[in-house]
Amino acid sequence: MANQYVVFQLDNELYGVEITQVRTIEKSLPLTRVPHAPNFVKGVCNLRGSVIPVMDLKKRLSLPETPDEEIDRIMIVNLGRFSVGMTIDAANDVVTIEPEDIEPSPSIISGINAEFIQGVAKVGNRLLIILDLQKILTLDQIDQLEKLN
Amino acid sequence: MDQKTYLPVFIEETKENIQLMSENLLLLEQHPDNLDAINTVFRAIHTIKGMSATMGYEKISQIAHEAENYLDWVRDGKAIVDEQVINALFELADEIEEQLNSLSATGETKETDSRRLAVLSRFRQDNGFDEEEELKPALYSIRVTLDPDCMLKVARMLTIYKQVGTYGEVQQVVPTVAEMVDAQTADNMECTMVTDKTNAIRHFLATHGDVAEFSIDRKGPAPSVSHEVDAGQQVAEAADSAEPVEQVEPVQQVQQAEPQHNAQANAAESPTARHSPSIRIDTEKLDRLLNLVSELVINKTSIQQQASDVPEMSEGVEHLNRLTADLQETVMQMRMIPLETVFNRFPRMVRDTARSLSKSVALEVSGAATELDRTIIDDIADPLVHLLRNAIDHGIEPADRREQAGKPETGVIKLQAYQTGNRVIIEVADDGAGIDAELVKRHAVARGLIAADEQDRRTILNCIFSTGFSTTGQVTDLSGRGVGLDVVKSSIENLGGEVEVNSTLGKGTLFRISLPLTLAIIQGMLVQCSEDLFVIPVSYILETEIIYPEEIKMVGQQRIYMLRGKVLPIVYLAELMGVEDYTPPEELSMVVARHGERQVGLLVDDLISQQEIVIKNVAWGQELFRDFLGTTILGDGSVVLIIDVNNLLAPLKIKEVDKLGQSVRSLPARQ
Repeated sequence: MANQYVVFQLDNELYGVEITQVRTIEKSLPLTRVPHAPNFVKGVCNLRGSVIPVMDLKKRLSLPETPDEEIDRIMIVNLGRFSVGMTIDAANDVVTIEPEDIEPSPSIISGINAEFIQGVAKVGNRLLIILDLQKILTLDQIDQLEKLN
Repeated sequence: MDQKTYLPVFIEETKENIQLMSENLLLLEQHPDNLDAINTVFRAIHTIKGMSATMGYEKISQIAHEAENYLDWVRDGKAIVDEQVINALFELADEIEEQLNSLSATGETKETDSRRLAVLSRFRQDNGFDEEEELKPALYSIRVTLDPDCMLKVARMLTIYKQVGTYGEVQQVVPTVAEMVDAQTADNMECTMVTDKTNAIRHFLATHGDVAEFSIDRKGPAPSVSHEVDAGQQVAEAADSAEPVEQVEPVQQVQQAEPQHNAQANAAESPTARHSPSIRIDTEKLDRLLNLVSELVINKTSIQQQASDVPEMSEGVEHLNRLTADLQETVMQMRMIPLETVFNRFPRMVRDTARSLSKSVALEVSGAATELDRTIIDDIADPLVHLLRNAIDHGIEPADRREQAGKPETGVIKLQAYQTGNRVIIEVADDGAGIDAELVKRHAVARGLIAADEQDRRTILNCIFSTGFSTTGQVTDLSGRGVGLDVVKSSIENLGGEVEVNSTLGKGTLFRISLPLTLAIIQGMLVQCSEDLFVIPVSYILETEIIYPEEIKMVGQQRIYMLRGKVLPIVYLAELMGVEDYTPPEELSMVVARHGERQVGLLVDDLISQQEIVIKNVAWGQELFRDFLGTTILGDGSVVLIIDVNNLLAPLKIKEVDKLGQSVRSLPARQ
């Protein structure tokens, strides 16, 4: 069965997450920083009365930092019982992709940990990197990551 | 019927019935002839039996059936209640509870412990009661009186009549059905019938909500139904039966009369207890409701701020204000549960613990109706169990030592709860040996907890809450007394509560726990710290003070402040929160916070206000928020973190400063 994916941009790459996992995409919300949290936690925000942590997706994916930029959008994803926000540059589109068009990812794409990637698919003439939100939001990974660094 | 849907309700209600049974068994132990208690136990066990049979848990209904049978003989005066019987009934209650635990864990019942079941059947044989006799059909008169408050009396009476009729052969009914329908009312009914199922009828009537009172009297043996028998034989039979009837009846009357009164007494008190109009709500729904209300409160605050410049809105805003306050209060009340739910199990526990230690202990409970938020109720049981066990084990002396001390043989433990202001106090007091303050002092001084010249009795005694206080073998009289008290203290502190001890050697010991009414909304101090705002829960705060940077001194790497002649270690909150290049203002606010057993001064830029704080938890990544109790949303919609002082300060090695205490005064001020 074909799935729909929300396509968004980080730097110049296109990324996709399953549309069923996306709750909303918000314009930037005021953030409160959380002392002592890992650097990819940007802070917490008030989303219509719920307090939701916001993750710097670039940092989480270990992408190179682009200095001093404004947060354009926060994509709120739902996983199980909780919601987490993720900073993205811009949300472009919703596309439908057949499962057989998704290929396993090469081990490294532009420096992203392969574990966070579910696969890649061609959209038009561009490559869409489909993210594995479950892995990205599982914090067991942090320890391992931090040990590596 | 889909069992899974009803399983949680079944388990909960059965647990309530077991609790009811335990309470009344304890009562019976004191007063073996208390028929009220027997009836209540009977009703509880009967309900368990019926419900478990409906649910298809035969093992449970079989256990209940054993207990019910025996109690039935007790009610009929055919068996007695003694200690052994009560123990056996307690065992059966335990067995049912174990079955329930197995049900909630695995969804299935476990193997019945047949030894437990066997005990009562053995008593039955010992009592020489012949079950057969009860089973012979006989003529009974059944009188039923309806609850005067019940509606549609005729319809109800007819249903009762119909049901009773299924248990045997009705000979006569007064008033007749036609009379009832004509009269449009029916308060009483007398039904004469031949039946061998008096137990079933009794159960039916005893558990029927609209029956105010009833009696079942044996009139004689079943009349012969054969019309071919000649008159002479009938007369002879009647003569035969006449005498036994005369003999049986007075006995039956006496036995039946008592429960009848009791039924009346129960009817007077139980309708409110058993039939109070309440519903069960999933706690998650309650939490959601509370969340929505907090939402509304926050929203209201911001509307209030925006509307303050618009005079024509003031009345509407004021109304909104009152409504939200009422709504909030009501929701908070819905989350309040009486301490009873926790206290309930203590009489049984105290009894068992006292027995295992061969001590005689009476537990006096008062204030069980005092209410607390359910989040607190859930976590207060363990500390209380600990304190009660301690009191029995180490507080109450063995009988011979009590006698020497001129005390009554039975030790008394008083468990008392009451509300003062917005806190609830729970006291556990025993009239036992008390704590030797001198011994505690020697021990505490040796461990460096207090100074050798410490005079304050309270300070000395409260050392027993220190971690590992009595684990050293030196103070044998004390060992045990302090074990685990550190755990008690920390679990109570986690609930935003406090615990302290007072004791008089030879007279007894008193533990006093003070708890906030609720955890969902706390009193918090909003503080400014560099560019951030934080909330410090008021329960951590001892006092606040304005200080100036030049008053801060250094001992090694540790900043300290002399507060009324005492050394107070201090930290800049901004530094703890990882603010780089922090420049403290000219005038600092100091929050003196409790950190375990010591005090720490938290320096902040400014105290903004003290206010009610609605705690909002963050669902994801709790491990990232270790230093915080949660978050809250202010009236302007911004999110603020609530500091967990204990966790935040834990990594600091503030302890060392205490030892430097005396020499500090001579040190020059920094700069």
